[in-house]
Amino acid sequence: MSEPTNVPAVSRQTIGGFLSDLWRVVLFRPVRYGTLHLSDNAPSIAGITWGVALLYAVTVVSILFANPLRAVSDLDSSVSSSSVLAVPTLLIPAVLCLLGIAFGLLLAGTQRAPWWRRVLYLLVVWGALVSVVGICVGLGSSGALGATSVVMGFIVLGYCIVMWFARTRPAIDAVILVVLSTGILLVAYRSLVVQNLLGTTSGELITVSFILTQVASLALPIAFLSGVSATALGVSVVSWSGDDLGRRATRWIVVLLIVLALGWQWVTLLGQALVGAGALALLGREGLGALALVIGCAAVWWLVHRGAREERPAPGQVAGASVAVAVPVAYAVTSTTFLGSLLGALVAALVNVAPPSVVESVTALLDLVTTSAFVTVVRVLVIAGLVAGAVILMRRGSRLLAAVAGLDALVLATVFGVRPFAPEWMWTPSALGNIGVVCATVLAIVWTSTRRWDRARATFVLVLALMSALIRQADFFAVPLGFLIGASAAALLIVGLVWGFLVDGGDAHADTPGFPRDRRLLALLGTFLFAITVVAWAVIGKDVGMTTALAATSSLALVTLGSALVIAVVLAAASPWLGRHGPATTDARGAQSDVG
Amino acid sequence: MSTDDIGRRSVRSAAVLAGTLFLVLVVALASAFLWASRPVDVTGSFEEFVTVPDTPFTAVSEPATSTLPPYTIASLKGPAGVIALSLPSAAVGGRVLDAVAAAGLDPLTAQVVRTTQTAVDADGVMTPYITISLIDESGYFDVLGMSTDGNALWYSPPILQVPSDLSTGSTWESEGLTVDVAPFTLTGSVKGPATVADDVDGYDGRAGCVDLRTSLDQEIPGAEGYSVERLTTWCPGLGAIASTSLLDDVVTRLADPADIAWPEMAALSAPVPRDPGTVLPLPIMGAAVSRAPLSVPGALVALNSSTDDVVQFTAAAPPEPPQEDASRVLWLQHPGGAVLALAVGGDRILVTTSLRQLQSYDLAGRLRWSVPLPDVASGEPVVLGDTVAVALLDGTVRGFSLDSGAMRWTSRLSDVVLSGPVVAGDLIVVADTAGYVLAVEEDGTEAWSTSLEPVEDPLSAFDDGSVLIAQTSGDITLLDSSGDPRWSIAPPDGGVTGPGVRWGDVIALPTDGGLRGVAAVDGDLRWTLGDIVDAQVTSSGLVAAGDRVVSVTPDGVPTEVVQVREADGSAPSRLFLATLGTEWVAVSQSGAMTVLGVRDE
Repeated sequence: MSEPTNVPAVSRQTIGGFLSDLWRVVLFRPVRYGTLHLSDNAPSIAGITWGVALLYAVTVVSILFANPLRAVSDLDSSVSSSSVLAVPTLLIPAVLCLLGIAFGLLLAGTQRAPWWRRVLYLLVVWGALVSVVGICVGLGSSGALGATSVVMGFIVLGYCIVMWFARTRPAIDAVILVVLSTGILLVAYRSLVVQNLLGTTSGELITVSFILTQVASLALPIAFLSGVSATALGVSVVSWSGDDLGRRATRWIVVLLIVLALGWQWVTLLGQALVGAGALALLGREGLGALALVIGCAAVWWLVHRGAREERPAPGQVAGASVAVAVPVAYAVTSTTFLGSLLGALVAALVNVAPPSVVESVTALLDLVTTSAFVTVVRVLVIAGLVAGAVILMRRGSRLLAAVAGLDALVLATVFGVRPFAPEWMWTPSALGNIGVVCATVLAIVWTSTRRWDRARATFVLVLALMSALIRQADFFAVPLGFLIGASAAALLIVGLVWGFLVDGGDAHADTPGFPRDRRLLALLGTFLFAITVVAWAVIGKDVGMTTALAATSSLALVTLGSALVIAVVLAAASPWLGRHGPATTDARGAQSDVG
Repeated sequence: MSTDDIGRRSVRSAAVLAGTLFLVLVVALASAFLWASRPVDVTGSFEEFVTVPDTPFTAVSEPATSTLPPYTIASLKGPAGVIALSLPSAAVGGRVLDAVAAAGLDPLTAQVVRTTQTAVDADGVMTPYITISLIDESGYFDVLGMSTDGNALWYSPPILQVPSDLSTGSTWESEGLTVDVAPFTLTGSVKGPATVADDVDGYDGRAGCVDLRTSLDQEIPGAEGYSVERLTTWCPGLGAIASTSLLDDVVTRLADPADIAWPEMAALSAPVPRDPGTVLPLPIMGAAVSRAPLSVPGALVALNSSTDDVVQFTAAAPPEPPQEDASRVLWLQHPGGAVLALAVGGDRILVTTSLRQLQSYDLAGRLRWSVPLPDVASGEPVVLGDTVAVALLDGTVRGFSLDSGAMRWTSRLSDVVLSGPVVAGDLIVVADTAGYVLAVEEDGTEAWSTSLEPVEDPLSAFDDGSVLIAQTSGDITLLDSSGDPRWSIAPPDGGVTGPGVRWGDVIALPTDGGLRGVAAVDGDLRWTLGDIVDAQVTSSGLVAAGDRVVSVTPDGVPTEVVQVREADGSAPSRLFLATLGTEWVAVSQSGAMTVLGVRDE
């Protein structure tokens, strides 16, 4: 196979060259093309963006230094018979301030968006603010402070409605709404502090923790997306590495790498079998379930790409498509949880200030969204939506997106449909990895014995071997970070949020009359700032419940859409033998037009 | 410069200006939140002067001039409302707030100091005493004093002990009523800087100390009044470090606990056996027991959660007025902050607090050492040999000397630790919320480590070195002494609610779904008692659940049920089992002990 002509002419024979290209293609280029570009935004919005970016960076650094910060800070504690919550004293006002800024940016950005988005965000964000006010005010006699926060809440509502009809400037809206939102939280918080100092309540920390727990559920979709982003990063790194090494290294080096990658996995696999700890997920129902999934995914891929003549998609393109498809999935999958939390907070707020009929109505709605039947309906709709989306996209010619959507639907269908009822048949990433190891080994043997072993096939086997290892621990790059900061559960989440902030700015570049560029940017900034603020509370405050919920959501994304992504990348690499694709590009993350 | 360049520059300048203004706005908002988070501190440098440390320190009397035993002072400073809530009497707490108002102080800014003074004589008799003081811009005031059985005296208005004007020669006077009926008058003067070099060992040459002379005349209607004259040395950040009574030359001074010659404490006489069913109320107002008491020779040690006091008590031997049928408080300590956990190791009682302190008390209730921790402790500390191991929220487990508190080693896990360490055989085992399990030897050397699903529930350790670990996924895994998984089960409906106990070849495990008997060898579920939920299990087969104590055989058969009642006849919501002497007792949340009977050895 001849070298692709668009491969940059660099020193390909050195490890240094490989690392240099890895950095440039896989890490730097996605940031360069995916990050926020402010040249087309208003100067005032650009300035606000830099300010928010600085806040974001400071928050990330604080998270990374959570333990040293705690060691030098005074701690506020709340103790129960079964748990203890101890947070740095300054963390509470800092988090509330950041939340207020994030809410203000979200409202400023979304209240000039398409109607469904503006109504949804107004309900969610204003509902969160009202909940905070209701909870703090309802605890005791807060007097003028309580009344002030209530009035400010209605001012926010009024201003948002004004924005619907008046041509206000984005920067002015941002400043006003940031001040108002932060002011609401400030007054509500002061009310809580006063009541605590007067001894009418002893639960300042508990109340703040409760509030943040409810609000944090709004970050679940973002946590899900961060899991996908982080996985996409890992997949891009590993798959590109395999692809590139397969091309540039000598034949014997490639064979050596294959032997090492497969050999290590076989040793681990056989070792587990000898111990008999039940980890040999190859034979038995778990392995068969994984095999069925792989066959199903291959069938979907073939169906979508049948007759296609375009270039084989590069790993970066597959990763980009996965992230694009993941956005609606993230909100849909987590909708029941954050709806339940939001309604629960509203009930807690309204019970002290609203008529019983209103409270009962909200409670009834809460009961509805928390039933297993409702959750099932939502899941079915998610899967159906993905299938329908795949069909539509395929008819429009977006085959990569269609294929990824189809694979995601299949994976989610097994997770939601098989695991609850027949868990013994449920595939695991380890089982998928084992299938990959066996396939790679068999292919290597067959191609070698039939004298068809060439560079392309060797590259594919290497990629397959590496991806089989990756799928067992797709968050491998987050593990050292976890040990470093003493928060391994949140490491994947943090990596995903930071990487997402660096490379997912493309969403804010579009400009339509219904959703102008500056507004999109404000909404994006508010989303990112909100998510990192919630993570800061969870990690620095050692709020294990919140950390677990967010990390579990990220992990869910890693296991489901992450596994689908890995399978998609392997199928893309196998395309020359599955379909009629040509050679792939080496761009790690490009072809935004394919996924936009 | 072209028009385009000028345009780009002006755009860039506008963006920089906008960004700067936005950051200024953010700083202003953040400052507002900082203001909102705390009351305005009006005491300034004076508060620093009279501030007492948050950790306990010990005062002793000069043995040559006094018959007073060593006593411990623990002080806690905080907002008036917060401190008022921590007192063992709501009525007394209300008096604190009334005193704040009567003194014309702002309840939002007034800082209150709660001081707990305890002493144990050679017979083990002690009455803890709590004093409440105020700090504001005009000085340091005593508000009231109370014993834990409710006897209190208060000053209206609060009596000024230390004025904010500490210049040499300044004088002050304070007068009012004690308990609203007895007039008092206090006069004071600042004698001048104190050099303490000759007075208090360990504080030589400390700068900024002053000597204060006070004279208190207390009238008592219908009785003879009394006078007290004292010369007190106050040092910045420490409060009163030495005090001499000018009437009888009794001196009290701060001392390093290690330098104190503690009087030998007579061994407690064994509690007199009571008839099963006897209820002995605890004579402490507002007691709230939320954790299982610790058994020590002849007594129990418990945490009073309503006041965060550590209390040691036993059953009084009859006849002993005035409460023949009550338990007797031996000592009371207030470690400071919220007490997170208690543990017994050898002849020491270990306490961890929300102020990030690990403290060691002896069986006489005397503070032996107190060490700061970088973060808050998780679970109870454990003792292996002469090492105390404590796990922290920052994901570390640390070993300290049981005798001196010196830190010996630190081991790091991968995430937050919620379930405290356990001793399994000759190893200390701890698991973090990411599922990383670490076992170390007494000297901190790693013995083994492994990874499971996330762990948040208590671990169960057994004498053969095996450890039972319940994971958030619902799986329960038994690791052998080498850290290898022996078996793993997934019992239905219910997470683990407490540590399991070995009953022969069965592990009795309390879960949300009831008390389960699991075969130790293979994890086979042998039996389930579904109506015994959230139980405390003992090695003798006694199980406490709700308001009942049930005796269960290793085959899962309940053989005896005892309904426990409070002293007033009401049903307790929760019980804790402990041994007192040769008897099992059930302690209710009000601290009342119900005698269950002689325990099996």
